[in-house]
Amino acid sequence: MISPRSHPASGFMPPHVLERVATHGSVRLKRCAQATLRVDAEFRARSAVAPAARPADSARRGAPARYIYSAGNEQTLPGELVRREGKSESGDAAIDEAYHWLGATYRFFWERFERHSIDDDGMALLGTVHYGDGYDNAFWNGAQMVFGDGDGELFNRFTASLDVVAHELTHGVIEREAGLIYADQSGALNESLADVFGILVKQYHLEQRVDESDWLIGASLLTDRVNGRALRSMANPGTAYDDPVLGRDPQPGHMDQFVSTSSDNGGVHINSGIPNRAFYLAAVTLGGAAWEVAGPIWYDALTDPRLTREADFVAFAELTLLCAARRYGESGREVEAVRQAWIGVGVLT
Amino acid sequence: MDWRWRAHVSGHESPRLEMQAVLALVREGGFAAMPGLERPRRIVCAELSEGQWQRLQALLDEIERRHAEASSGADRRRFRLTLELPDRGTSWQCELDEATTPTVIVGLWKRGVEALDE
Repeated sequence: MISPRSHPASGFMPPHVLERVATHGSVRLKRCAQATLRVDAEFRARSAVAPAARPADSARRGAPARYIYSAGNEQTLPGELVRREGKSESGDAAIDEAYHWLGATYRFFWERFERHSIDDDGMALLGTVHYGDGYDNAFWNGAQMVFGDGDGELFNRFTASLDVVAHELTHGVIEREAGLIYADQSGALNESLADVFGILVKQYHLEQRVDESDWLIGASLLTDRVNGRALRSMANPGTAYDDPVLGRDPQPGHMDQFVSTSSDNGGVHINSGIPNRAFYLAAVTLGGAAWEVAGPIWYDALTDPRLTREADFVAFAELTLLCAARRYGESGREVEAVRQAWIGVGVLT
Repeated sequence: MDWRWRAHVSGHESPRLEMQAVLALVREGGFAAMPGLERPRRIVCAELSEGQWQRLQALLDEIERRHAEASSGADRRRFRLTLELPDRGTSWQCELDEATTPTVIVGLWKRGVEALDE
């Protein structure tokens, strides 16, 4: 226990002044200055990563330009270049998975939509693996994709699932197209679209029809010690895991269970379950391969200039109806399947 | 890319540690955003030593002063720090991108107050 006291002065104090106080000030001031200097040093160390020059983009449409880096279990980006386009297998599973899954994702966007990489202009695909020590995450940082090795207890390496790599690359596509604001419903749409194209890439790569897919995101990520199948279920949101350590999958599959929260940018990884299930329902109703009909409707909506950065679920749902009508005709079964899907999750009535 | 993030520092007060205050830390978000990974931790100010108190106050002052730029992208993890007072509720709150969070704050969240002695 301690007694009430006076507090260290707040506000900016130049390092040289702090250093002098730390050396010559009173006992209390010395302690304060030393504490602040330690904090300053920590902030500087954490933000001392200089942006690296980007490698060359792909000049040939239909061909990716992949660059895989290793962070060597540090948290510095992009790290050391360990495999580039056309080079042979490295023998390191994370490096080679990142290379192959980025290629599979590029191939999907090119072959289905003639999209030439993230920006449709050959943007180099940069992926860093071995990021951090036992790092349980993958992310898109606005310039590249980053993958942790997982802690080995709960999570395997994040390159193990093709749909995870495709999910992160799709964040780049979303950023370049709609630029959906990463908060609340537009943020949940952002997450959902990354899952939708993540599962489409997986189905396309495995040549799976809708009834053959597991509709799971991150099915290879969880270790055997976890009571769960994946991180998210697009078919049945809220059922992917129920584990003593990780907790219970909080995703809703209907607007009746929409979660209002300030956590995670307004629950972007939670409420994405609603549009995820809408896509699943539309795809299953239409049958066949999801990349043939449902996928193009969602892609049209993503790339439609009418999709605003602040779009909510209703706005996106209505846009998918317009896109379905434009592509397949207003009276087609496709429009009705999409409408019923959104009604099924309570977004449209 | 101009992502809109929630306000990184909110509340009208500066982060002042008080005897009755509790600092709540939680990690949110990420591709693997799962409830069990948030691991909320509460630091009871009345239980801090003199040195721990001063180091923590200096950290909060620095966070307040810097108003760190929001990181772009998606699936980034963030730490949310909330200073709670029994009579005034939340007196101060901030959200820090994981990549720019001081290691001692990460340690505080992971291991508790011992991180303030390291």
